[in-house]
Amino acid sequence: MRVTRVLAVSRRELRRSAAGRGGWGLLFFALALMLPAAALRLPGSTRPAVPAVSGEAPAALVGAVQLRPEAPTRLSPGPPVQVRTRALAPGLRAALEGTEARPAVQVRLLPGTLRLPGRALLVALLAISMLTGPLAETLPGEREAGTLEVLLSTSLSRGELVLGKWLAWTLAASAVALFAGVSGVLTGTTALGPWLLAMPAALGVAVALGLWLVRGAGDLVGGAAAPMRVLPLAAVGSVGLSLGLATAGGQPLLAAAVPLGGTLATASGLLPGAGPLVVAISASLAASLGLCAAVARTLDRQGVRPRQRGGGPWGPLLAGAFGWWLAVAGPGVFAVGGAHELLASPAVSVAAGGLLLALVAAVALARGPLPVLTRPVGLWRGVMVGVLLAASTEGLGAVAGPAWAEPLRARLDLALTPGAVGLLPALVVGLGQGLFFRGLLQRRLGLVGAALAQVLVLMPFDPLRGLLIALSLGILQARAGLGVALVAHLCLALLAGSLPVSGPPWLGLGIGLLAVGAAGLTRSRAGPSAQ
Amino acid sequence: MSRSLRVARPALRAVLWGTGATVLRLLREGMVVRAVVWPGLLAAVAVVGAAAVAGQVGGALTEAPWVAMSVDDAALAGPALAAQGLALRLDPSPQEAVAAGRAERAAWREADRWVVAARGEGVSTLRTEAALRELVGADWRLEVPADPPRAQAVATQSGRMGTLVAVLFALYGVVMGAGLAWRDRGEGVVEGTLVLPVPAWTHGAARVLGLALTLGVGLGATLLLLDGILGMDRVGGLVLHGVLATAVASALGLAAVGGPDARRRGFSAPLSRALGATAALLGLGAALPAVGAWLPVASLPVASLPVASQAATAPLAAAVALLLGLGLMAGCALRWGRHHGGLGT
Repeated sequence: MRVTRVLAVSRRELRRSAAGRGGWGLLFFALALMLPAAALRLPGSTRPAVPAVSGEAPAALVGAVQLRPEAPTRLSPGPPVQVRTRALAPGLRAALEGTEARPAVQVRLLPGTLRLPGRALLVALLAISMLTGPLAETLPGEREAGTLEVLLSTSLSRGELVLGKWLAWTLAASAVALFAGVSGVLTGTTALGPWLLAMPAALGVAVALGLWLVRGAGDLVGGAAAPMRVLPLAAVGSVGLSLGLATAGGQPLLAAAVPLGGTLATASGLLPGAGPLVVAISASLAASLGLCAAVARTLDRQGVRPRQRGGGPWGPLLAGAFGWWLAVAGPGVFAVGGAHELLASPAVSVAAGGLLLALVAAVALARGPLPVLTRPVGLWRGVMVGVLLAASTEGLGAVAGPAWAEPLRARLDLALTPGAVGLLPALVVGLGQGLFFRGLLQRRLGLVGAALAQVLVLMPFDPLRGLLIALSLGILQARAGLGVALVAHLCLALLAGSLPVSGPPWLGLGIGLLAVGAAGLTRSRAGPSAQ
Repeated sequence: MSRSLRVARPALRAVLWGTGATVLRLLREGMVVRAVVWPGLLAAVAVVGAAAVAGQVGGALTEAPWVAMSVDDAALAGPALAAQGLALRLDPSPQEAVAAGRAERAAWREADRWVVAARGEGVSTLRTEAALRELVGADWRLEVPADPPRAQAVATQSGRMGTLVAVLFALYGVVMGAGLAWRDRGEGVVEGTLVLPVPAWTHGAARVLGLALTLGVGLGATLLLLDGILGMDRVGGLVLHGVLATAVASALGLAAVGGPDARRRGFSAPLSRALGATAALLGLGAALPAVGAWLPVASLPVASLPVASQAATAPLAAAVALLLGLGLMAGCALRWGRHHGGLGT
């Protein structure tokens, strides 16, 4: 590793970027965005020197508070003086304590208390978001232009190449961020502090992570998409982890060692002290070098465009099942934990589950060969099978789950009668289930496979009835086409649970078998839409 | 009227088919599908996972806030704290408990006064102080209003989470709009479509509408999923302003890379410019809601504000933002047509 070569790569990188008007435009816009964010004082962001209260101030507080009718803190002169508030401003507390001859209660806030991030965190996050374009130009841009092969065939080592690119963008981003930060110091929005040292370290990790994310991208667009998707979430998530370790865990040094998050937290003044600063900078340097080494190792691998996929059934099946359970049964987790009041409206959950099934089916179908659509004929057969299935609502050998899972089961059961929660959710669920199980899975897994999948996803606690429903609908599609099967799905979703049929389990079984028979006796239609 | 309709019909048909084709192309891109799925999946799994862990590990979802106290002090202050809805946990050394992180807050007597120590100046700490001031008959007393219903508080927070998700979608819109323009020019798709006997602006309009439709449906499904799990404040307004912001951001990305002399300008500088403009609008809405409510993209952060803090002109402002947004999208489509998708000057 030779330093001169690393510096040469950095110089080339910055020159390449600054060539033409584009590079200067980027610098101009970065400054135009970050300078106001760092230096402007926002209305309401500064605490008034004299606290505002509403109500009537006692004589002892005249001059120490300003009366404003809209202020959320309300004073009653008493005696005793009553303060009605959900947050006591420090200025008002000091004024009130000044009226006491002998303080009766003292409040001590301990170190480790959650502090609000300073403006420097906003500047750092903006600088990270501005890196999306330059990061796309680094390796993917070279790859698209065909210059990466030329660079790799020179005597430069992979490490020197990656390190040079990392250094160029770390320095550029740090210069802009520090310029913005110092302007904030000058206007008084930010205090001078050790964050000045932590900022370049934080941006260094962000650049290294960005290089790692784009290491395999074949072109600029792929190179821009990955950092856009991951970098903001990684930054915010790692800051959250670091703060969690610092406040809940009481481990400021461990918090500072969290890559990216620890340095960002230090840069924004959330982890004060020299110890966290040293740990954060060291951890960032180590993480940056490790990521750069990982990028260098994979540099010879040429990125290729994502291969068009979509033929397999398992990915969509898992995606649809997970989406359905998450939307429909997910809220039941709050009830398992005892927080019944947090259960969201079942209508919204059920509609969300149906919409997710429809979208998974639409995406999977769009990614494979498109289905041939024909005009559905004999829709009444779909109505007949749907009504029969809706009438077979009695449980047929339902399986008892564990007691703790009862709220989850209740949510899943509720989704079996979507008509009871609303017309729109029922329509969305009928359409979503029809498109997913009949339009997508039956084409890829066959009739029996799709029926089994439907039982597992929708009715795992009532498998026999689920199988009767799924087989009826599957047979109907095989005989009469997707359109008729969709009508049956819609009728089932709208009417299930609302038909006045009740009786012993054998009656439900009988009606279910009748539905299977009705679907099977449907006249088969020729043509490609049968499947 | 009928003549102008006759002239416009092929153009509208071209926009319609072009929009469908754009949606299909986007859905076939793994990058796009991953981007659309990622925020909702991450947020939903995080919420449900956190609830499951908290519910299993000790009933944190239902636990009342508590104060650590010694036995003697608890006998004195117990009823006053209970009246404030606070529970007690006995600890021989409450001072050490709060210092070591075993307790969030603690109270003890020190000489002739009470001390409340806490790791956060929250409402529960204020209630502890209020109870003790009442107990000793202090010169000034605190009254802490009751908490809003927990479901309402959670819905407010999930509304903020939904706003963040919508912001991410708006930023995706910029990248995907710019990416679509860049790839289409690089692969010769723009030349291919320009030979068609329809106005050039229809290609831009189809791309903008395709992006808006794909990302808008993805955003709508994501917000509906979060609303179905947690309940969300003002989800309708969030969907409306989120989809508008995403559509306008997509148009900005497309126009940035599809402008005059586009090939000479490269990809990253125009992209960063469009990202910067979108972020600036979002920041404007967050910092100055009274101004942001009237502008597309900037109206997104305003949409999640509580109803009480919305101005009386909010519906009018939303209509103006919508019209301006549609105007911006139309302007971007016309710019695409005027510069032939970046091939012209």
